[in-house]
Amino acid sequence: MTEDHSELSLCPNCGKENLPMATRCVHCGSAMESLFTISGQTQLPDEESEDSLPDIIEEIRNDPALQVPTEPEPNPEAQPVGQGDEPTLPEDQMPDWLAKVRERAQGEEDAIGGLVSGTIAMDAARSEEGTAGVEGEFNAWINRIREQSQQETSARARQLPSENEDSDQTPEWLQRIRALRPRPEDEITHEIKTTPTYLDDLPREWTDEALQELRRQALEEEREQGTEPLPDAGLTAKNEELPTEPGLEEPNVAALEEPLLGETEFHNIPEDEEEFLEPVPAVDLSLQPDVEAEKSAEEAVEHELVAEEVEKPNEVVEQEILQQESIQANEPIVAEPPVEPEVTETPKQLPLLEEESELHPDEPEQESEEEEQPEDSAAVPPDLLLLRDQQDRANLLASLIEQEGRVTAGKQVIRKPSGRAGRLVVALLLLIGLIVSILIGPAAIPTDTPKSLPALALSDQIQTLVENDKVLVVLDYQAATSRELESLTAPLLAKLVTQGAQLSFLTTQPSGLFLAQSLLEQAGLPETTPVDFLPGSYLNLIGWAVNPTISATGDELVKVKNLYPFKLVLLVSDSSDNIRGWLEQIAPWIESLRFAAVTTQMEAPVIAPYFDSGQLVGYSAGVADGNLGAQTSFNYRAYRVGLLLMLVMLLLGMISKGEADAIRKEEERSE
Amino acid sequence: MKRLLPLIVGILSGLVVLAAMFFIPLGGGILGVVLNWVIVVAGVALLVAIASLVLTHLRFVANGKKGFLLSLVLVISFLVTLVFGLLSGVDNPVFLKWVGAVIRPIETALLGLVALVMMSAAMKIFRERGWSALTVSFGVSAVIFLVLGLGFLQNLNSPVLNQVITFLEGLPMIGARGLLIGIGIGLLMMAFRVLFGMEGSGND
Repeated sequence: MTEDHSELSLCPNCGKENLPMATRCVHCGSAMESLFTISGQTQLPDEESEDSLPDIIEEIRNDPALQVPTEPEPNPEAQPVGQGDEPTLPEDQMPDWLAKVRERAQGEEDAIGGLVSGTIAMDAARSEEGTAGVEGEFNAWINRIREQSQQETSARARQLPSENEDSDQTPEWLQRIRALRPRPEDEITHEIKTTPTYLDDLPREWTDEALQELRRQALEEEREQGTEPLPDAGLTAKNEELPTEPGLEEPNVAALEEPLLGETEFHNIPEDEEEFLEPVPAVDLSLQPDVEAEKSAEEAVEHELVAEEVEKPNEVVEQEILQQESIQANEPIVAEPPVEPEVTETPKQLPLLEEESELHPDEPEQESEEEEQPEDSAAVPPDLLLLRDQQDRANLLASLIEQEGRVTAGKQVIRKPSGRAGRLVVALLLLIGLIVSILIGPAAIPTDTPKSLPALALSDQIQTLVENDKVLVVLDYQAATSRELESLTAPLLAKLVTQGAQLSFLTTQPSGLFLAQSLLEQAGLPETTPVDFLPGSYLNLIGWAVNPTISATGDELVKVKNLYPFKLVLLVSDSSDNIRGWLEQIAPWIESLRFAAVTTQMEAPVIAPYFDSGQLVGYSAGVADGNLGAQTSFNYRAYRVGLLLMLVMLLLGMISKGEADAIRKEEERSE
Repeated sequence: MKRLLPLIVGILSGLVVLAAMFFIPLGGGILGVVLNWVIVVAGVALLVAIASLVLTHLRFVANGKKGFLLSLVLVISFLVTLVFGLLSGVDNPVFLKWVGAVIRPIETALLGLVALVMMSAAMKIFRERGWSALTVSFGVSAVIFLVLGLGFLQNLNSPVLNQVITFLEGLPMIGARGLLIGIGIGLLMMAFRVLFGMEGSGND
């Protein structure tokens, strides 16, 4: 029947789209007629519709059937309904059904019905009467309001001159203040830029601009009311506890409304809060003569306001005001120190603060937040409440900003002690002990020190030698072991010499030539003692040992190579391999030849089996076997100290390993 | 042929020496001659080694390689000793004392360092290798023989203790016997490998 809802209807006035059900355009406010369009009906032009509507109403009004029967006035222009509905079309163009309807209407007097026609006539008469009554009442109500307003204005104007004659004895200034205080219907809101509010919704400090604006508003109101100008006095705050700056004007009601706006429009934008930080010019009380009077008036106003708030009777309040006035008249007025915000900045400090804010832009926000921290959280708007997490993060940010640029110690890497220092100290201590034991001087081995069996066997073999027995001494060692071997060999050589044995020296090492000199010197032998160099060691003697006939061919041959005349071959060697070669390659070919050895303690275990098998008649190895006599070049003390240090180091290694294992197990257990 | 000739030479030398050992005294002369060849060849090899050493360090000095100063010291020492020995002779007591005065403290110091290194190794072996049969046996045996080496227990003159000490001192001989037997078996196997041409030394 109506248009499809999915299609938007266009406003006939502005042409913009509207909802299909809209009766008025949401853009221009004009009426929307599309709701009442009938499907299939062509939209007539507005002029035609406007012209046709009064005609219909006029026809209805002129319909005699709808006329009130009490009105006998005949309307000469009145026509029957059928006449009124006379078509403008000629009869030849009139449809048949319409012609029939008109004929029937003419034939019948009341086509609608008598009951309906009466009801309609009554409704029409009532509507005309009601319309006239409502309009009259509305106009009367408006007139009454205007008259009442004029009366109140005039009464207020008349009230001021007669204030001294007030029976309630209200002071003049109080009356003026009351008159100045606008009522809610008379409130004129002026947009005065005031300082932001504090916890109690009232500004603590007023700027000069705000005060001047306040004075200007008061004067304007007075001019409008046609009264004489009032002295500067203002309302302060609702609460009595609020302090006032001495010499400062009180804000008007508009200013008092600002805190309310401040509550609703509160935000944490620091830029706005910087207004708090504007320096308030210092007011010199001595330069303002009416400061005390104003202060007393302010205090009285405050009491008055408080009294009104608690709805005390006016008489009681005025009595209290009078009492306070009498008290203030007797007592010197002391300027009440203004209550400063929690964090106050003096004008001198403000530039510093601005500099800090430039350096640390986040700090003012935090400081303002700190300023706004309520003493009583219940009186603080919810926007001011900070979560604990937010507070912690703010504190953390503040601390980070404070530490910015400072030289701080870097993260110290915890290094586990490597133990190098400790080991170095231990090694140094041990070395120092060893060096000291060496520096003390030589210490011979005690004579009562028990000898080893090979050493005893060697000693016995030497004892068996008689005078002119030939002994071949083979020097086969390096300079590194010369001290140890020479200390063992020299006593043996000395003993052999004392027994009258003939010594022949043979060396298989190139270094043996100069080492033999040292040995001979220690043994007390002359340096001219011949020492033959035998290249190839015992391999060079295998042929001579295998074929003794070679050596028998002539005495001009090297006499050392003929091994048969020797009773004993003393092998002074630091190599068990060389000793083993002598014993395995030479000894089997010469059964009459006995072999003995002087070697290092390190090599002694290897040649021990040869002693056990009888291939060696005896051997002396190590320092412990050197107790054959006084040995000036040997330091038995240093030798013992060295062994002791070795033992200590070995035990330390075991202990440290055990400790490391214990620590590791403890850590594993703790984990 | 390049590989076969050394192999044939090695096999023949071994067989000749072995035969000479079995046919003594007839083979004694042959054995002496062959061993002299070995000594001469070893001496020549030593000369070649010395020449190679000197040339290498001369090359280091010429190229200015890192540590060439040490090479320079080596070359200078070698040349001075060679010249001094050729001029004065190897039997000159002054020459021998001079050489001995240099070599003896150096080698003694090196041996002392070896002792310190071994001492440090004995301390570290437990930390590096942990507790194992090898390390434990090494530590225990080292401690025992170090204590015995101090001679304190021997001075007690206790018969029982002396028997224990004798037993303990005989333990190394057991090991040495096994070592010597192993060395003998190894030499025998090596000889067979050379004789049968199984040793790869001929490749060189």
